[in-house]
Amino acid sequence: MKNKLFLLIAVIALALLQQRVQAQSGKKANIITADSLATGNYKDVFKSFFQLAFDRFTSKNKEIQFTSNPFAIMARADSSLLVDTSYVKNKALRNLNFSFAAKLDSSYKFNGFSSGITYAIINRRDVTVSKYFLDEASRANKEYDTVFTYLTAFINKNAEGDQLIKLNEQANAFFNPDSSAAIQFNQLDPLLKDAIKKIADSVGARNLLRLVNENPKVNLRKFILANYDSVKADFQNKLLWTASVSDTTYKNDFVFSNVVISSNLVKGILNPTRVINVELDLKAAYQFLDDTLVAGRDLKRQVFTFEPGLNLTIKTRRTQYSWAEFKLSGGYTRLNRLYAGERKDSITLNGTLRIRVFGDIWIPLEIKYDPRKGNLFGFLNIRANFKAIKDMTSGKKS
Amino acid sequence: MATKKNTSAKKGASAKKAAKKAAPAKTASIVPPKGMALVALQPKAVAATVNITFTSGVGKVTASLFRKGILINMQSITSSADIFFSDVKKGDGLALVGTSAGSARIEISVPTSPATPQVINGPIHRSYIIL
Repeated sequence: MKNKLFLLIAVIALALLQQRVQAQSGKKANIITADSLATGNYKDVFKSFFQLAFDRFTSKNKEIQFTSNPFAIMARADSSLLVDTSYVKNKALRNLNFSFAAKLDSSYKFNGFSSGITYAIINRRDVTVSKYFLDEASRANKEYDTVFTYLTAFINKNAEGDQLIKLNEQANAFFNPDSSAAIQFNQLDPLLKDAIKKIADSVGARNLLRLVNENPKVNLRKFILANYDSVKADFQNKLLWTASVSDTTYKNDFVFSNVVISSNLVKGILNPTRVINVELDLKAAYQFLDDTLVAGRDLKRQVFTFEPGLNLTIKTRRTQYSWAEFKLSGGYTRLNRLYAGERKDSITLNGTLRIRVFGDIWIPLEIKYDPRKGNLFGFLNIRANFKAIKDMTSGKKS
Repeated sequence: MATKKNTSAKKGASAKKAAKKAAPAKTASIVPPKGMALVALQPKAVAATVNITFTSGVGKVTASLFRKGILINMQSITSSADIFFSDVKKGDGLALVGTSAGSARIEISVPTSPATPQVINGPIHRSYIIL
């Protein structure tokens, strides 16, 4: 009962906090960004801004964890860091995550402090610094770029005074406008309609020509954005490889009771624009623990774990939001010092079901199954991811 | 020893030198570079700066300036920068085409339609008329 109440309070509190952050940033709904395309599994591996996590609160050892990206916090205070010339230079800070957590026992009392850092050794999913992404996105919209430039020249040559202003406004509103100013092809001045068709034909812009011929109500923004988003989505399949170090202290002494060195690799496998996609997720960790059979506090008990898995993601077709995920993984554990009843090597079958309950709040349910002993364990968590640094930019929107 | 004749001759020479110094330069003999001549011929031409700032990611833009439908200047940038046009006139058309991974803020130093600054996310297709 106590746990259910805690779950309810935690979800409501996180939902309110998220709404507050989004309202402050003036974020519009359903805009596709690299952050919105990221899977819940990806966000558990590497965070773009910050994440609040309530982990394993149905078990005896609970944890409240805060993870953040130092660059995102610095940029929140000084938005000039977001200008590309500074942004590109701060690669090391952008690739770093730090975390700290309070461990709680079954009665929600403090049971130790935990901290850690994660560094993204390879992060090819980050389109924000990729020149290759710019080239690909430009290539995807090349025919629109060419026709638009020629159309500007045409208007400049064939119109004067008020008509020049009017035709220019229409060209902007037809190609890539603010959604409120968008106009359809059949609403354009006849001079422009004719010019667009002739230019498209002469430069070989077959897609554009087909669109305006087949649908007189077409506005090009949707298609230009779709090409751009398609290139962005392709990047969500690329490689992410991280290395981490984390530690946990005793509750009554600032001495490490646990040190973990780990590495995580995530790579998409199928076409990322499909509704269902699969990610490869490999995780290896080496853990140093206190051997409680030996008097005193030490880190002589060591555990190696390897967890290869596949994460199945289900997305909405329009916004490409991942709303449900299921990760199936195998777990191999090897111990150097055994307690009574333990085996040196053990294998488990793990499953994690993630449901996006609200905005960027995920509820992952972890299930572990030991096939040799027939034991089944389950852990319920809550993860709230806060939006990426793109929201921090200020200024008049076009 | 200097004679009177010699003195008057010297005086004549120095007067000629002074007259030469005071005379205005022969403008017809100076041929300005072709680019400068074009600037001088345009009535009411002014300089304009297009400031483009990419935030939350990299970006690139190509700016093309048209006069009476003819391309008179084209420049590209691949990071935040000022694009300088030394000669823009009322009625010129400026096309900006490009892509940003985050957002791009466009500000033009002369009055335009539509007015700037504007912030554009993602693909960039904007044309401005110089007012």
